[in-house]
Amino acid sequence: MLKFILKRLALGLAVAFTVSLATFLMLNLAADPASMVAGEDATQEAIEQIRVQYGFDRPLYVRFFEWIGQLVTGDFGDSYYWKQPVFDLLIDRAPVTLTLAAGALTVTVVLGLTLGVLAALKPNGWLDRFALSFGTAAQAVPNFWFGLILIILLGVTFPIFPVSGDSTWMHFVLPCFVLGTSAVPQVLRLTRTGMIEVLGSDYIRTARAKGFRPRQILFRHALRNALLPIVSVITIQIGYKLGGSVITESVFALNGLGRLAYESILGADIPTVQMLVFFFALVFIILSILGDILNAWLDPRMRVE
Amino acid sequence: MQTTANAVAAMADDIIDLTPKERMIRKAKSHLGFQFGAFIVISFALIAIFAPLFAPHDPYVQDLAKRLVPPVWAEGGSWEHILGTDHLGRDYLSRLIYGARVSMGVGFGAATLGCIIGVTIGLVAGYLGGRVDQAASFLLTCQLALPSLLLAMALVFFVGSSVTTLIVVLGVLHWQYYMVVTRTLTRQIRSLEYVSAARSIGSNDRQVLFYEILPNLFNQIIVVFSLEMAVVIIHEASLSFLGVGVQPPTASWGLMIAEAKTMMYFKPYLVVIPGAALFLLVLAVNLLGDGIRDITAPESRN
Repeated sequence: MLKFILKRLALGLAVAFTVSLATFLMLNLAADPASMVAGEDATQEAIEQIRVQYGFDRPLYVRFFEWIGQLVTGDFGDSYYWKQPVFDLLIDRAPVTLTLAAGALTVTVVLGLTLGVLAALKPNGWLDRFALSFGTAAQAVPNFWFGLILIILLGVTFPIFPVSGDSTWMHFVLPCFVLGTSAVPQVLRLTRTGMIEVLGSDYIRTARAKGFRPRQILFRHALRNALLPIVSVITIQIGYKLGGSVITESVFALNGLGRLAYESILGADIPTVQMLVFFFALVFIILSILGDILNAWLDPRMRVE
Repeated sequence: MQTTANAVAAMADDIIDLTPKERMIRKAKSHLGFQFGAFIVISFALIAIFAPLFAPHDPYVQDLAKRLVPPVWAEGGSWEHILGTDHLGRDYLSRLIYGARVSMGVGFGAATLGCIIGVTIGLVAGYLGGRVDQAASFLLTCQLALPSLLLAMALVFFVGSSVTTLIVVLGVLHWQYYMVVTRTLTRQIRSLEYVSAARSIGSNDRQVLFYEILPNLFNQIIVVFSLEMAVVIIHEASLSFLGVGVQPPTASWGLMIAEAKTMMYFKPYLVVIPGAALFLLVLAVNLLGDGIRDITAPESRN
């Protein structure tokens, strides 16, 4: 088990390094950073001045290793646009996004698992058909549009929830719901398939024959095994939730990391953007390592490559 | 009833011994999702290609005297502008029709680019195995870790927003599922007898890959293609909605929603209409993909 964990950690480190390299190259080669910082109407002279001032005149590899140095030491450099340390910006905005991601994940897991289990109880029954149709429809709804429709309906026509800002927990209900439902189809389908397979297996028949109550069989015996593959999907989903926060936070005017990323992109603030891209990637990497370890702990078969 | 009918049909199949093609046509005829999806996708494609023929007005001509005309079913609407006009007096239906061009074009273009990248990596990794396969898996893990929507936003905005940029950036960031599917299938197929047979009569690796293996992946790749196209269409609309995708005055559904956002409280239909078109197209593309998967799945013989 220890060997397994160490292997996963080494892989994660290699992935993190490659991802940082890719992020750095893509964002710094997409456009000339100096002219982006200078703005559209800047003179050639002003651009050259900024190039020297910000150090864009140095070779790419020097700047890359400088950034790696910043990542390792935890001093993330200063933002061009916000004129303050990137680290402070991240710490400031993180709580809103973490609340959003946690709420959205709860919605995904509760809706996805419930609908998936209900659908699997009677394959091809009306509940199953309903759940699958719901999944297909939910997959096709664009997040930002769903958000706007909910704002019109529940914020204005029937004013139940506040629709903009992040000062109370009520502000998080709609955004969490919007971000959460988008991932329900995957969890739903996986739970359904897993449950149908498990419910048809021999040990469930044995449990039934031994006279366990249906509820006990469902939760104690079946769901526990059907949950295994869902663990890794959920860890991946948390990563997507962070990425998806860009849109949801913009629609609902939440002041989190997603909105910070959006505003930093518009402000051509490369240090903040590349730090956010890397931060989201890092969270994803850490979560998938944890997911792997959790799976290996739950199911010893997974420990063998 | 349905199950009985299916069972009888299956029995009839065995007696008549249909060719695989005939089997597929028969399945397609009874698959509602496939038919609905195909109908909508083909209609939208035709509308996109022949947009100038379908659009009743020029989508770019502004008429400030006729701003925010309501649609025909609302009070004050007329058949002149069936879906009304936007805040600059442009005909909404015409903009919706031209918007289909952006959605279909970016969706198809980016899904094709992603397909070329992903299938190539998947074929090579699955066929050669070993070190190459490990390297490809590593690349996949890295790509999965990257927040693709955020990265796409930054890259499109930094490079300069245009339809071409959108296609290239979204295509380059959406090759993972093609790769996973192609790799798995290639690994299965490369050890089959007919591949050894092809090799024994002197086919080289390139011939085996392109003439023996690739044609057999076609169905599964089409399914991934449709699912990826749906994702890319939503991403394009999202980017355009946030102002970092297609630029005004080009008509894109995401951009139309963004422009209508300030008026959504008293003119909600301006937000509802382009979003509904987007929903319908993505739903249809997904249904078409699911349908193709069901139809081309090998017959399970009991």
